[in-house]
Amino acid sequence: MNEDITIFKYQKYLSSYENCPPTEYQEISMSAFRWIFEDINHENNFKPVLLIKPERINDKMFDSPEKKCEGYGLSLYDSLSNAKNAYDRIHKRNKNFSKMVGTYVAQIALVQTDGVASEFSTRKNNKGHFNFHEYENTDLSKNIITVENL
Amino acid sequence: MKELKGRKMYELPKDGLFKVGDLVNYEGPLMSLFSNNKGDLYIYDWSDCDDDSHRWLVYQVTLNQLRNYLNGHLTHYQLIMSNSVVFVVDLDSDAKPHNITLLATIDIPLDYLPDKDVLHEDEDCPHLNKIKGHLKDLAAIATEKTVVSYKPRLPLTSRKEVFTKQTPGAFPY
Repeated sequence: MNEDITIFKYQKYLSSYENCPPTEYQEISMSAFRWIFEDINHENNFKPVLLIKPERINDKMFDSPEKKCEGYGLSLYDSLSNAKNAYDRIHKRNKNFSKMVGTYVAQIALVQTDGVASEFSTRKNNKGHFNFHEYENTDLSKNIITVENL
Repeated sequence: MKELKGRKMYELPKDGLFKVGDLVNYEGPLMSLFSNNKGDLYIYDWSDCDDDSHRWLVYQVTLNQLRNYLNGHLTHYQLIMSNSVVFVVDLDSDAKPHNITLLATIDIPLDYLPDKDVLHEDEDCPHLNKIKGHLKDLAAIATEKTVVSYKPRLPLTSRKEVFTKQTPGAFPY
């Protein structure tokens, strides 16, 4: 890992937790996929959930230091089909879910200097999902290759 | 968010509820189970949001309905529609309730309802063990109450005796 890029974008929050991001997270180079809003410059497109709604840190969902740490990462998928399947599954249950995450999916070129990624989920309903912690100077909006409707 | 038909309420008459766990969660709760010390069960279903609030459908379910939902014998849609009315509540960022409406289920906007074929999936449910444990406890309490409160409604006589002792027209039950 390059010494001058080991500061994470949200370091001041991550520093509150031990082993955050977890040491098993790894730098990767790949195409990743993320749900975004129609406005490609929407402020929440690449904002971690705990920065969109900081008060949620007290939610049951973030009831451990590991989960709080995850809350400062971005949800990404390893393929277009996995990103679409996960969205469709939730949308069948909650039609307005798109108001929270957008109605488009962006293909993003990740390179090793962008940050570190968790392992890909193998859960049937969230296959290919992974959590990504950006380095300090990363701006994933600049790495968008394609955008398409969900 | 859209204006709803129904009756505006001053408060959500569901005091004493505590959260048991989420039945569906994606970076936040989308369907949660609440209960109280009487053993009542309520579902909070996320339905809409704007910049200030999140809107939830709140409705009561029975132990059996919830078990049937968890076992895949009842859809999410059926679970909601098994009530004649639901509460709709907007919760702000401090979880303070606003704009509470008592709404007939037939008046629930279509975009607030799941597709008709959506079933429970264990993978969506981060607190499944806790929820199942709570339902098990409630079932045990219900059984205990039934045993303690059982009182024979008839004297311990044979069915034949009961009928022969009745005057014509006086049904024994």
